[in-house]
Amino acid sequence: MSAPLAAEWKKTACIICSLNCGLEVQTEGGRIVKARGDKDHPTSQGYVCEKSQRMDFYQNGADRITSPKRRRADGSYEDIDWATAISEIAEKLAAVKAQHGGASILYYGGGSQGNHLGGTYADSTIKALGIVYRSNALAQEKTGEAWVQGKMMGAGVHGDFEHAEVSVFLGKNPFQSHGFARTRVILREIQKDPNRSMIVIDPRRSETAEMADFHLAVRPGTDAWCLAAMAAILVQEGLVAKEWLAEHTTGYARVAEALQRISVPHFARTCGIDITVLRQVAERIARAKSVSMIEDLGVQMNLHSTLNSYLNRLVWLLTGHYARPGTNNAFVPMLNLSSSTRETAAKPGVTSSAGGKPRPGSHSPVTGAKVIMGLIPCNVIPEEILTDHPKRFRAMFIESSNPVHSLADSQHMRQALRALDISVVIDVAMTETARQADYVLPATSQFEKAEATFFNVEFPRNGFHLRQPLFAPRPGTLTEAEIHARLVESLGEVEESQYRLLRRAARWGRTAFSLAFAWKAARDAKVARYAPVILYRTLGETLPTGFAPAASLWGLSQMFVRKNREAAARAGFGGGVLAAGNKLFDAIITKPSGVIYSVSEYADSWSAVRLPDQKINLCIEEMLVELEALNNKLPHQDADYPFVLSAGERRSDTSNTSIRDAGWHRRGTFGTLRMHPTDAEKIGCKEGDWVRMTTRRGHAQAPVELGEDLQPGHVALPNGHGLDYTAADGTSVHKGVSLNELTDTASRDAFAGTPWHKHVPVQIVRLGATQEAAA
Amino acid sequence: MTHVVTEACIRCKYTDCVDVCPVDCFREGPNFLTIDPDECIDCAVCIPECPVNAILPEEDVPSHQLHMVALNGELARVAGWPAITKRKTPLPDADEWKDRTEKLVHLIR
Repeated sequence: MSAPLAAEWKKTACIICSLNCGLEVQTEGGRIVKARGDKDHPTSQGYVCEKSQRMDFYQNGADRITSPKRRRADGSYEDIDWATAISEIAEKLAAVKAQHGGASILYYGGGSQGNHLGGTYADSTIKALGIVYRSNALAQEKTGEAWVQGKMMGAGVHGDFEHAEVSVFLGKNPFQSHGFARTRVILREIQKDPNRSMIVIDPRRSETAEMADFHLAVRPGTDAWCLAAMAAILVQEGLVAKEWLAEHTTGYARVAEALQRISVPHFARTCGIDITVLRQVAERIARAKSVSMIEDLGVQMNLHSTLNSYLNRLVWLLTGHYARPGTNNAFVPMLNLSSSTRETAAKPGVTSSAGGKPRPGSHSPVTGAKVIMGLIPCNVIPEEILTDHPKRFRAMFIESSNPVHSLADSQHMRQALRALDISVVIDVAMTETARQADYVLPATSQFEKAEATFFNVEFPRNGFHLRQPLFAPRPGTLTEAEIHARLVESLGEVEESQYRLLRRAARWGRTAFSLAFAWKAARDAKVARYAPVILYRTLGETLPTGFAPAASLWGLSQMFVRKNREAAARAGFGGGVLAAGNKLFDAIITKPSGVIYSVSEYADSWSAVRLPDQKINLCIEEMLVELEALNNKLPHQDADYPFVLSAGERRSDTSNTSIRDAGWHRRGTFGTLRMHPTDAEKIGCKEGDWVRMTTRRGHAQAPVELGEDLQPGHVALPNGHGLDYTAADGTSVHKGVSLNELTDTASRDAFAGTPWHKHVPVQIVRLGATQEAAA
Repeated sequence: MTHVVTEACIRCKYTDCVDVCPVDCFREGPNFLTIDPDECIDCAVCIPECPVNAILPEEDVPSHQLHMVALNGELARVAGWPAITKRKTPLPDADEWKDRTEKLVHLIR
């Protein structure tokens, strides 16, 4: 009845959120049948949540594909062989490049929540095609924050919630969406400790808000007024860390002047929070030994997104909470996902775009949107294609991403994809995006090869986990590494003769390989330029079965130890750099639960500040203008669409879209529109009734679930539902609402172009006890 | 928000659940396991492990087992049962008791 005690547990990780908790799983005939937390994992330490149990729904999804596909004129797809697919794709992309330049090809994606290694090889294809513009889902979430971060510090930071006296969650429900290691355990610890406080700023009484000491239930869309009021209280009531600010920051006088002018009572009324509670919270933050603060999509996909990111930082910086235990600190990344933090850091004496020409690639070609983290905003992509502008995108290369489902205005995105001269999708399944592409290339799954992510944000001990393959690749699929290698070869950029010496050296051992690579790279510019593909084709062939796609990590290991000698040495990777890089690479390859690759000291959080004298810049003029503007406006309200829809609530029944089969759903309701009982009464409906939601862009139906945790007028739909899944028997299943049939690309932040998915104006009418048949 | 061990566990104590708990929230009594509701993080990983389906999310506990919600907390907090984190052999007559109902009278504190 119970499993035999001797059943083998293999190590891997969860692919549903950015924590990628270590898992131990049991497999049976190509299936993952059991999963539990891996206690040896250096950061998750055995922690998991219920979502870890869904891995097999990804691995054995019925709509996985096993042959390259080419679209026919009638919109159906035919299977073609790999050689044909690669040569046709290379030829067509090369033709677009020859006629319109590499800047007319947009690269989108490169990985999702569990798989980033493919993206390291995409770098070679991007270079071979001269691609200038990239985008991915981070450009609808984190770019505003990255821009602010670049201007203020030039370093990515992460909170230490395990030790913080005060933890602040801004537009974030860590109980469901996590965001830091061992989340629920740490939330419980904070809740139980009378000396520590939890502050949640969220219009909804979320699971986390329920545990908090202070829940600031702002009116939807008014987070900026709440944060501005808090920052203003700090300045006006003398709660700022004066000496610390003088020692470590610049620009305080200018910021203080702006915050002095704010009418706190007016701002408190606007956001709907009692001014005495705001004062208590500001004082709690100011008087605490340590404060960690984290923001997420609740404010990043909302009105004043970039301003919210700025004000968040002001609150913890004005009170001096940085670079100590329990505060935010600058983590050391293995690979920086936000390479632009340095590019956007404010330079002394240089005012941005003072009449000068912007550098190439700094703005999108058609709409002129700011490129942040090297990414154009997701929301402008359709406008960059559906136009007769001479610099429009003519081709898209999409990898491990599903923009048709995941970006604003799916209708528009489908049209855009079909308007391109050529579109290519690499994915494991026939996704909504794949169904619009000219070519679809089937990838080997995340559990059929070595795989990893670069979501490594821990401090002071940062970990990296290379997951070892659980299964052999499904016949007909190729790894992203192999696909990119074949493309770059087909484009004539690298060839067999460039591999020979390095292949031989790889068999003689790491030291020989390192020396040979350095020698070869110095003499052949293409070896350095296409290093990922070269490493895959040479070193990769000597790695254990299924590990070849990890070859690019050799290059990253070498670069990491060069750039971070002390942090690497403290983690045990010291000595001569070549040897240290090899040692790190071998540790990554051989440790199935992951490895601590970087150990920081608190002073390192200061050396990470890439501004003069390592001083943090408090003053971003553009943001002060925005702040000033708050005085004279009220939160946006569309009278014709009286409800505010929060599109994409994270619930225990939601996932990212790697899990396409809704069959995993077992507990509670599925796909409901949650609303306050008084709203339900107003539109004459009760729990379980179906309603129609209409926005300026589209409409959808859902059953209603009542919840007192929402404010009247505020409704919520879950994330990641509404996929078009083809079941094993060939039937098409569509469960839940596809949120982006409702959203509008024009509803976006003025700075970063990030969408307002948590503030979608909507009309709601009752349909009845059942769903209305599709027209 | 917690999970609850219901009466089905009494006199069986298969202990498969404790191996997978990420937070070690199971407490062991003489012939029953209980979940400490202050430690449980609602992850549900233990549910499919139990050969007698004794573990349920709090909101799914049927009316005839509702008393077990409070009892789990009471046994964890008051009885002082020790934590159990490694699976062990079930009680010798577990298989005889696994299909029986109304086992509360047999609970040994």
